[in-house]
Formats: sequence, structure tokens, C-alpha cells
Amino acid sequence: MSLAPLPHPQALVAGSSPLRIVASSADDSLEAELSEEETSLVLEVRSRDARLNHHLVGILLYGRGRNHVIEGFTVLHPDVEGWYTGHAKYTKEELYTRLHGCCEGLVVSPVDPSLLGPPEWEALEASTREFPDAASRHAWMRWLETAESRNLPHALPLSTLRARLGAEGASGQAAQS
Amino acid sequence: MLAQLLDLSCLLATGTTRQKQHAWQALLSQGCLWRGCEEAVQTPDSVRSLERAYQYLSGDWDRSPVVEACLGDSQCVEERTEAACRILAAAAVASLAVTSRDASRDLQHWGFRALGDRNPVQVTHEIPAWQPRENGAELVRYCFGQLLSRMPQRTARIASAQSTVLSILAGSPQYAGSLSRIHQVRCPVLLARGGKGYIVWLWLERLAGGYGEFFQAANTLFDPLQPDLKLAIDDAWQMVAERQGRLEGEDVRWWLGGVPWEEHPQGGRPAPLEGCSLQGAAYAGLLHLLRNQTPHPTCVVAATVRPNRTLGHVAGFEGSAPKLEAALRLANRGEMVTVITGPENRPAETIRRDWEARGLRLEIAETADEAAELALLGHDVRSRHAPQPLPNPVEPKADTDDWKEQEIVLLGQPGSDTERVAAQLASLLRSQGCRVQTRTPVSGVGAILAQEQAIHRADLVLPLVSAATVHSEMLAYTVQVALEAAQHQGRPRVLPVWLTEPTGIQGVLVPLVSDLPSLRWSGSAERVAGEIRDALRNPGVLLSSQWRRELTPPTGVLPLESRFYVPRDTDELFAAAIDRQDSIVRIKGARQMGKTSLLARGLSVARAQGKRVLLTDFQVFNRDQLESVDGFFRALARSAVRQLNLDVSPDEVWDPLHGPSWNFREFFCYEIMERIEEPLVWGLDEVDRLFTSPFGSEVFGLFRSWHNERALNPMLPWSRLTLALAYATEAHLFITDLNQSPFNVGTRIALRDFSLEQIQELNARYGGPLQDSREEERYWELLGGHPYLSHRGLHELASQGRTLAELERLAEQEDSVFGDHLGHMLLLVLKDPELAEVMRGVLQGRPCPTPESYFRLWSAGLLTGLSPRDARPRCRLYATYLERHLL
Repeated sequence: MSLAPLPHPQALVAGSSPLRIVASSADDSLEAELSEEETSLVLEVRSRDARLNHHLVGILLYGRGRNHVIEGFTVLHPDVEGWYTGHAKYTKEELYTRLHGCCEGLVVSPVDPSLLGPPEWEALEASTREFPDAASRHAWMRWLETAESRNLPHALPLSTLRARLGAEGASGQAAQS
Repeated sequence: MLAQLLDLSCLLATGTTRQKQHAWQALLSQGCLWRGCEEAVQTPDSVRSLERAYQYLSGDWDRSPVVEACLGDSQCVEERTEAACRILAAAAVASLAVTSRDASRDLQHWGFRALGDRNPVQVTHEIPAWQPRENGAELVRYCFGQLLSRMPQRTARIASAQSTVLSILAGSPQYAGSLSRIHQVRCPVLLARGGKGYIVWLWLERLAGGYGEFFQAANTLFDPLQPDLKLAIDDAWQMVAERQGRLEGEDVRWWLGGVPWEEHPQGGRPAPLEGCSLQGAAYAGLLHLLRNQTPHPTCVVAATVRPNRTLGHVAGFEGSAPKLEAALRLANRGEMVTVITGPENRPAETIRRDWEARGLRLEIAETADEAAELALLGHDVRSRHAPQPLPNPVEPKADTDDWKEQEIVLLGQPGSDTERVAAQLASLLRSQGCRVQTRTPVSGVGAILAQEQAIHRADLVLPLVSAATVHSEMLAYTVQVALEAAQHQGRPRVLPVWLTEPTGIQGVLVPLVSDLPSLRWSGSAERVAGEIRDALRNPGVLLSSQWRRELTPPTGVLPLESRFYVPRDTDELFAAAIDRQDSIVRIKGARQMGKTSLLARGLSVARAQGKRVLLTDFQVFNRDQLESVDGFFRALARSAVRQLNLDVSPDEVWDPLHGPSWNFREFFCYEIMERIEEPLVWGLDEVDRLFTSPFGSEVFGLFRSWHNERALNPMLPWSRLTLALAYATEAHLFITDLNQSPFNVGTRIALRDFSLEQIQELNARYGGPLQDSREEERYWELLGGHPYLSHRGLHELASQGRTLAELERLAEQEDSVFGDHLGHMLLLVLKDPELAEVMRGVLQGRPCPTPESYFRLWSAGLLTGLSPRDARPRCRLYATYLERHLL
């Protein structure tokens, strides 16, 4: 993938072409698209493979020279027209600062939770901090239930995640009511 | 764009939630659908792409994501999807009509789809074979005429579909004339939303070759309009059609311009405007349209209309009166704004007086017809007599003395031949009861303003053009004022009286008047006075003077409606740049290449899109205005204010503590851009004149900074501004700091000489005076496709019945049709001995010694070639003529 300059957080969108980066997983089962909205950048991961429903997907965004990286996760859930999608949202400032102004690589891959170790925990927790909609939260809950039912070799902070997802759900419901 | 249209259609039908929402917004709200359809007309084999897009859109795809984006309004989504399918089908009809004229069955198939029949598998009526027609538009009318003859009950759909196809065709330069507009009216409408008032513009247009139907322009079908707005307009049409009778052989289409956009992440949200006051405005506007009248630009009707045509109440006049606040923006140079409303909105006397003190007069009308009459009067509304029935211009006019009520202004120059002629004409016209003033250029601010007011009040302005007055910058300024007033308020008409032979005459006044219908002074005051009386009695004489213009030898800029204008790919590039709202568009071409004609057409495109338009021709700036940077910026600001009808004076807000650049930037940003809601396209012609000015760099640096600010400061309105700069001289010779130059950013459009194919098209437009392709080739070689000379020569052949051989034999002679032009070019070279030496070298086959000399000769229009090394005379005629005089 060629170097894609990221939008400066202070720049006007109309001043240049909106950012759009696309990538596929190594086995082509997943597509990923990073696109620009008014104040944020949204990464959509999608697949038509029903086996990936409620599956964890790892995301890596590389900065210039691949020296800077943002790691994240999302869980796919059913969308329209036979798609399964998951999303990650970034502020322009966050992406611009952490990737030093440009994106040189986007990698997505289905992830087996048994392969996750302590270095990934923080990113996993961070990925559950914000959900665009109830469907995403529900997808994470489903994934968590599956993960808890498995006898994983490494201890994942599943209880922390469950507490967070529960709290998110409660606050979300309170806000809705 | 066609490929993008197909991709987006695919995403809309098969994509994820996000992809569908993005595709919906891009296709419908951002105009990709329409632009793709316009492009399809010029793309070979585009029907296949359109078929696929149609299949996607008309399929049974999951609408839920876009319904969510449209706030759950599933009916709106269905209607828009159906409209999108009809537009795609209309594009296919347009494409078939211009590419494969024998596709009768396909045309019929797509014609049905354009009416909204998604699967017309049963093609029961074959369209009879047609004779080859001159253009696609004719075939389109034939096709829909055939459909109508079989389905008379579907007239409304057929009329709308035909108009959509012709609109798509008209989007490509070679079919720009497909839509035959008869008359257009633009009327202001007051709307309110959330306690804030808005002016939007209701555009109404009569189209020839129609079926007496009324519909919304297809390219605005996706605008976020509330159903009640559309209903109000439809109701108004029903009432006007009942009163006036339907139009035979014509359609009327409408659209709203300048509708405020509701911000929404997914876009496409209808702006919840209260639209009932639109009804009165629409009624008045439609009545004016059918009667070929032009409403006064400072008048606005705000009322509902009851079935008995009496005016009813509207909201937005109470409390902070947001609609009246909005109406104040219509003020034109201190002229009162008139809001015409019904008795139920009659304000208390104190409130009425308060508004009057602020420049807004509230007039009460009982009926919609009375409101329509008042809307014609503008500031003269006070002096109206008892309402009289409006004259119907279709009916023959009774020979009354009404024409004598019109005010005539004769413009001359003291101490010149024009003074005597003006006195003679004034005396004669007065003796016949006319109201005549003779005016000469004045000095002093007070006198100039008084002069301008007189010009604004006048009905007919007659500048007397002679060898003495063509150089009068003040006279040119006064004529400019009259032309701008005519553009904005529909009067005065400007009718130059030439006291000298127009051909070859130069001067600041010439470009302003050379393209207008005119009278010739033959020495007989009685005769000219008679022609003036004719012009007063029958304004149509001036309006329909196309034939006069076409008989007049081409003088440079081709009028917008000229059938001799050959569109080039640059027209399309320019239109696309305007459509995208690029920040800077640079139109570069040597002298007489057609820059101004192109600029005029681009501005016309912008106007048609509802954008505001400014035009500055630096050729008409006088010496005083170019003497100091402060004077220059003030003159620019005044001109902008005048053209945009804004009630603000730069002199009142100019801050002496800051520099001229700062003042102009502040003024343009906050007093101009912030006061208008629509995008603004500013055409700047003859920009070269600033290159040698001591403050040129400062001006260009400012323009460049606006371009930069677009990206750096999104809160400022620069993203709505497009600067279109037309110039010939190489800019980098004068502006060395690239960061301060607007000439290395934006969209570049380079004009070239006509190709052989374009000469062939031009020959056809002149009626084919060049007999065959060999003659066309010879002609092209003689003039090298030089646009101006090509026009002149063909005009000569067509109007004088000469042969090409005669033209070639006489071409270089001083009294030939090219004689004055060649003499002028020779003078241009001889004035500068250094340049003359370079030109001699080029004629002898040597390259230009320096880039500067190459660029100077190139921009003067004498050379062609891509570099100093390739430089050669622009055409064979130049080469032989200059060889004879220089070597």
C-alpha cells in the first residue's frame, strides 16, 4: 500500500479529496475500508462469510516507515445484504498524531482469542470503549460469552471486559430512557 | 463520473449499511447521479452502463439504511429511488438519440422507463421510423411525441420525461441549445425556519416544444424540499393556468435555488421550511412568466392564495418578524424593499413606519392578481394608480401614447460631435412629448451618485458613440452602470447610437456597446428619432434583435445565444470546475482565442445552477482606478456590491488604520460572502492588465491567500467562492514568488486554436460557404484555426457571397476583411523594436532568443509552438503578411 497522507485535524475537508484506504485480509475473507467523516475516521471491516459472524477481528494501522502503529479490535455482526460488519472509530487528531501524519499500511485479520497475550489486552479493552450502535455492543457480548466458554490457555481480562460492556449497556440504556 | 455512478449504484444495492448511506448521499444529494447521466451522453456505449445502474437501483435492495438516514421517511426514499431510475432512463434515451439513431425499439423501451414503467417488456407500439434529423434534441421530441400520441392520458409524465432528457442533453456543450427557453423569471420567496428567515429563489422557465405541463426540474428532484412547498407551487400553477389558460406547445418547469441545507452526517435531510408563503410568490411569478414580464427585483410577495384568489395569512411577520428581516437583504443600493402581503398580515401603523425607516415597505393587496401587478412596480409602487388589468403581450398592442411616459437618457461628451447630436435628438423627441434628459460625464461623488440614480430610473439609455467618446472612461463607466442596472432590475435598455463606423474602432467604450443592438447616425435626426420611437413603442424590437447581431461582423465576444459559438472541450472543463466549486480556475489563451466568450458561458452555467455571479473586466478599469491599490480595491468592492445588489458601501466600513488589502479581504469576506448564501463565481477578465501594475502582486497574493484559507480555516466562506481568471500573458514573468501566486494552483484551462473538425462545424453553422472538405482544409491552413479570423472570414464568405479563392487572393490587402486586424498586429510588433527583431528571426526560421520574448509574442497571439525553440507564426496569413512588411 502506498503512503496515504492523513487529513490534518484543522484542515477543511473540502480542501482535498476525502481519505479512503481499502485493504483485504490475507485470505480475502475480510475487506477493510478507512474513510473520512466530518470530524472522525471510521474503519469498516466487512465479510460475507457467515462463519465470521461474531468473530473477533484484529486491526493494525501503520504510520510512516511502519515505525508507528495503532492496534485495535472489532467484532463482526450481521448487517444488510448478507454482510457481516464491524467498526472502529478514530478522531482525526488521534490518528494524525499517533501515525505521524500518514498511513502506510492497513492490516485486518480474523483473530483467535487464544493467541492474545497481555500485550494485546490494553488494545482489546480500548476497543470496547465506544460503540457506534447497540448492534456492536451486542456483538461484543456474544463474542465474550463464547470466549468465556472456552478454556483459553492465557488469562484474558474477560471479567474487566464484561464489567465494561455491562456498564456501557446500562449507561446506554439509561441515556435512551 | 459514469463509472462512479455505476459503482455507487452497485454499492447502494449490494453494500453494507455504511456503504449504502454514503452511496445514497453521493448519488442523490451530491449530484453524482445527474453528472454521471450528463457524461453518459458523451460516452460511447454508455447505455450498457446505464442499464446496469438501472438494474441495481430498480432492484429489490434493502432500503432500511437509507430510510434510517432519511429519518424513517420510507415514502421519501421510494419516491427518490423511482425518480433516480427515471433519470437514468432519460439519460439512456439521450445517449441513444445522439449515438445510435436507428435504435427505434431501444428508444421506445427506455422512453417507457423514463416515464416510470420499470419493466416495459410488452413493447406494443413501434415508433415509426424517422428521417435522419439534424440533432438529438429533435429526435427526442419526436420520440416522446410518438409516445404521447399513443398515451394521451400520460401527458404530464411524458412532458417531464422529455424535459429531463433534453436537460441531460443540454449539459453537454455540443447540445447546449437542446432546451429552448422562451422566458425565465426568478422571484424571491420568504421562508422561515426555527425563528430565522431566508430568501430562496423560485425559478420558473417556459420551454418550447412542450405539452402545456408544469413540473419540477429533474436535476433538483433530490433537493430537500418539504411536500407542502411543492404543493404550494402546484396549487399556484393550477390557479394561474385556470386564469390565463394553458400554454399551447410549451411546458413550464420550476426549481428552488439557494435552499438552506440541513447539516446531517448522512445528508439528504429535508430542511423543515415553512412554505405556505410561497404560494403567493409562485402565483405572481407564474403570471409574470406567462405574460413575458419581469418582476421587480426588490419586490417580494408573501401570502397564501385562497381558491377565490384572495390573499391569506402567513406566519413569520410577528415578533422578530424573521421573514421581513430576510426581505431586507433584497435592498438594492438604498432602494426600498417592498413586501406585498394580504390584509390579514396588515401591521400596526407604528410597526409599518418602523419597517419603512429601515428600508422596507409593506404593501397590502387584496388579491393575488393585484399582488402580481404590484410586484412589477418596485420603488414606483407608491405612485401606482388604481389597479389596472395587466396587459397580455400575446395580444396585439393598441397604439397608445404610453411609450411617451418612458424616460430617455442621451449620453454624450461635451465639446464633441455627440453634444450637437444629443441636442438635436432631445429637441425632436421632446417636441413629440417624450421625457428626455441629456447627460454628460460628471465629476464629484455627489454628482456621480445623482447621475447613477438617473440612469437607474431611466427606461432607455442611448450612449452616443463617436471617435471622441469611445475613449471616455467616465462615459464607459456610466454605460456600465446602465448595463448592470439592466441586468439586475430589467431596465434601462441600452441602445447605442453609432456616429462612426464601428468596424475596427478601439476604446474603453467599445467592448461595452459593440455587442448590443444599436442604431446608426445617418445625419438625419428625424430618422434616428423615429427609430428611437419605434424602440420605445415596441421593446421587442430590441429583445428580438438577434438577426441584427448576426448580420453584424463578429467583433470578439460571441453573444450567449449565438449559433456561431463552437463549444470546445474547454467549455466542459470550465463547467465541471464551476460545478465542483473549485477555488481558482485559470483560463489562459492568446489574444482573440475566445477567453471572454468562454468566461461568459461559464458564468451563464453558474447562473443556471443558482449560483451568484460577479464579473470584473479589467479592461474597463480607468487610469484613476489603477493608480493606487486603495482606489483599486474600493472600485472592485463597489462593483461587487452593485452587481450583487447589496446594501453596503465599502466607504462606510473601510478602516483607515488598516491597509487596502486587509480592508478588501474583510469587506469581501464579511460584507459580501457572508451576506449571500449561494456559492459565488467571480469572473475576472483581462487580468493581464494587473500584471504590470505596481500592486499586481498584492492583489494576486490576496487571491492566493483565499485559496489557502479554504483548507486552513473552514469557518470562513471561501469554499463557496470560485475565482475564474482569464488572461493571456505568462504570469510567472511578473509574479516571481510562487507561494503568492494564484497562477500555479486551481484548475488550468488552456484555449487553443480551432481544429480542422471545429472549422468544419463552424462552416456548417455559417451555412457551408466552404464548398467541400478540401476548401475547409485550405481555409484551416490559411488561418491556422485562429478563432476570431475564422469567424470573420466565414462571415465574409457567407454574407458577401465570395469564394474561398477570392478571399485568399485579397486576404493580405489593407482593405480586405482581415486588413484592419493585420494592420493592428503589425503595429503591435513595430511599437517594440526588440520584439520586431525577434519576430523577423522567427519569420526566417530562427527560434525565439529568450522565453520572455516568446511569451510576449505568444500572448499577443502572433506565435504558435510549445516552446521558444518551436516558435513559428500562428498562421500562414500572419506569416506572409508580416514577411511582406518586416523582411
